[in-house]
Amino acid sequence: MSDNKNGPREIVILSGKGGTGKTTITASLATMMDKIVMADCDVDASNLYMLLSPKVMREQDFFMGVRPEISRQECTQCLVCVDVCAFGAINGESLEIDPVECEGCGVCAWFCPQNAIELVENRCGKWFSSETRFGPLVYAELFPGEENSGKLVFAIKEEARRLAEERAASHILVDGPPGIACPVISSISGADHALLVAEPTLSGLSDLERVLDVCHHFHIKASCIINRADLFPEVTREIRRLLDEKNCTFLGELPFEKGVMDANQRLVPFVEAYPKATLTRRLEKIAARLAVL
Amino acid sequence: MRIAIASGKGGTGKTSISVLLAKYLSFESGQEVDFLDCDCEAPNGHIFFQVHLTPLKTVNIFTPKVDTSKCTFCGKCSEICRFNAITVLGNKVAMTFPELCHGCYGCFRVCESGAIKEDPRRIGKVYAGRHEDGATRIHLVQGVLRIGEAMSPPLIKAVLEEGEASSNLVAVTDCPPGTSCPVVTSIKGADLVVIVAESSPFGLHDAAILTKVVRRLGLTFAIVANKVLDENTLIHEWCAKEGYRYLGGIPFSPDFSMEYARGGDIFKAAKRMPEIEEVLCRITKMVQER
Amino acid sequence: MKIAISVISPDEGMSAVIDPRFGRARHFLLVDIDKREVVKKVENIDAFNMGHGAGIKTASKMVELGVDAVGSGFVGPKAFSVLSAAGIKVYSGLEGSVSEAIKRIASGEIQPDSAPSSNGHW
Repeated sequence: MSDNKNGPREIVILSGKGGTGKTTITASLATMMDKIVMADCDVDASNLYMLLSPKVMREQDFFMGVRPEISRQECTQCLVCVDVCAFGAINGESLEIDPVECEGCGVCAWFCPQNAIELVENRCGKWFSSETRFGPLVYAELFPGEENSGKLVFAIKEEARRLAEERAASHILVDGPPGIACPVISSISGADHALLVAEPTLSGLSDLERVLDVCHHFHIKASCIINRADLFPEVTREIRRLLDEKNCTFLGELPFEKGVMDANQRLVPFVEAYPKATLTRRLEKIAARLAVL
Repeated sequence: MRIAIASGKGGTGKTSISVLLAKYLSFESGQEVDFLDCDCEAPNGHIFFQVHLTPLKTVNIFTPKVDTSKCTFCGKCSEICRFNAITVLGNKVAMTFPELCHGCYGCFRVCESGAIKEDPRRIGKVYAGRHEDGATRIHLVQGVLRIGEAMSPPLIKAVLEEGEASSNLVAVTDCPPGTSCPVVTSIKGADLVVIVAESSPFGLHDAAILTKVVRRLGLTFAIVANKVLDENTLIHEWCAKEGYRYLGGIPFSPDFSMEYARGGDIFKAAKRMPEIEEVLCRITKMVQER
Repeated sequence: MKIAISVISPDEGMSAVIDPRFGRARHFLLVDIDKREVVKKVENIDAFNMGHGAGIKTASKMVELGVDAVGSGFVGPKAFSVLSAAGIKVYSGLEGSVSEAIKRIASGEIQPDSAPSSNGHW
C-alpha cells in the first residue's frame, strides 16, 4: 500500500503452507538487521519468542466479541433463542451454549422476550510487549480453541508500529501465520511488502501460488525465497517459473542445512549457532537486500 | 467412525500421515475410505492420490442486500449487527459490507418492513473424486477456499457433511494447522484425534496447545512424533509425563521427503520405514477398540 | 464548512496533533473551517474497540454528526465508501497540527480525495 508512508517499512513473512521455515528465517534475519521491531502474528502457534528469549515488559488481556449467558432464573424456556440462532449453538433441551458454534452475534439476546440473555465480553488471549537482544518483539497467546480474529493480529501490529515509531526503527518484521484466510489477511493489511518462504514440494508450490494470489488481491508487493532449494531442484525450477509468471521478485535460494534442526532444538537463531555456514551467508545477503527494499 | 489428523504447527506431516492412513485402512478393511481434506486454505491431499476431482457444490453464506424501495431507514439492522456489515446513513442510504458479514441473519430478522433480501456470498467450493488402486479405494472430498475470503469454517462443515452423507464406514480428516476455529471445526465430532507432533521444541509447544483444545472438546486423542532426528525423545517424554497415549515416533527421512516433494509414491517410501507401519497399525487398533 | 479531524491530543485545540488513523482514532475535533475554530470535541471509543469494521463505524458516526468533510492520515476503502455515499468530502494525507491542516485545506492546496488512501485494516 502506502508508498507515500515515511517511517518504518513493514515486511510480512508468509508461506501458505506451514512448516516451510518462516520462523527460523525471521529469527535469523532479525539478528542481522538494524533498528527493527518484530511482531509474531501466528497467534495460534507462536514460536518466534522461543528463539529470542524475550523479557516481557508489558502484558495485556485481549477481549474479542461477546458470548451470551442465559440466566436460569429469568428464562421461561420459550426457546426463541434456539430458533433465532443461525449457528445452532443453543441446545434446545439443556439450553447450554456451545462456545465452538457460537459466533457471538448477539441475536439470541436481542430477541429474548424475557431479557434473560446477557452478553459478556469474551477474554480470549493475552499479548506481550517484550525486549530481545535484537529489538522489541510483540507476540500473543490465544487461549486454546478461541476464534482467531484479525483483531488480535491488529492489536499486535498496532503495538509493533507504536514501538517502531518510538524507537525510530527502520523495519518491522512480521512473522505471519500459515494459510490464506483471516489471520493472513490481517497480517498483510497495511504492510509494505510480503516476503514469501517457499518450499520445493508440490504442496509448497500449490500453497505458494495461493498466497501469491492473496498478496495480489490485496495489492501487496511480494518477493520470494526458496528454502531447502537444493533438496528438490525440479520443484525449485517450477517455483522459479511460477515467480516469473506472477511477476514476483526472486530473492534467492537457501540450501538445506541439518544444523537448522539442531539450532531449533537448542532454541538459538541459526545464524548465531552457525555463523560460518553457507546458509548464514545467503541469509546475510537477503537481509541486506531487504534493508534497502 | 472419523479420525482427524491435526498438529498445531504447520508442516509436521499431517497430510502424509492422513494419506498413508486412509490407504492403509482401506487395504486392511477391503472397503472404500473417505478422505476429507479440511485444510481448505491450502489443500494438498489430492496430490498423492491419482484422482480426478469434479466440483460438487459451491458453498455460500448469507449476506444481506437492502431493498431501498421497502426500507424505512429505521437503522435497526445496523444496531443489531455486531460486525459492522450493514449501516444506515440518515434516511436515504443503507450500505452493506458482505466481507464483514458472519451470516447471523440478525438484520433479516429484525427488519420490520421486509427490506432485507438474501444475497449469498460464495466462500469456496467442494470437490470430490474417487481413487482406486488394486485393493485400496479412496473417496476424496476437498474444500477450496476462495482467494480473499477470510472465513473457512462454513466450508469445512460442508466437507464434513459430505463425509457424513457417504456410506463408507471410515473417514480420515486432514485438518488445517493452528489451534483456533478452523481446527476446532475440523476435529469436532471426530471419534479419534491423532496429533502429529514434530519432534522439536516448536512442534511440542504447538502440540501442547492443540492437546488442550482436544481435551476441552472431550475427544479421544493419541500422539505421533514425526521427523524424529537422532532418536530424539522430546515428544515421547512429554507424553509419558502427561500420561498421553503415544503411538510411536517416525524418523526424519530424506528419502520420504523426496517422494513427498515430487508428489511421488509416498506409499512405497513408507514401506521402507517400519516405524510408519507400526504407527498406522496402532491407530487401526485404536479404531477397532472403539 | 464543518470538518472532523482525527487527533491524538484533543485538549490542545487548534494545535492538536493529527492522528493518522481514521477508523481507530480515539478523538476527533469538529472545526469550523471559515472561522478557524474548534466547535466540538468528539470521543470515538466504540470504534477503537471494534474487531473488524472500525472504519465503517467511525464513518457512520461522522454522518450522524452532520459534518461536511473529514480529515485524517489514511482513510480506508470501507470508510471512504460510507463517507462518499453520504456526500462527505475526505481529506487524507494530513499530518502535523490541526491549524496547519486547516490552512492547507482552506487555501485549496489540498483537494478532497476521489479514492481511498489506504487498503484498510482488517
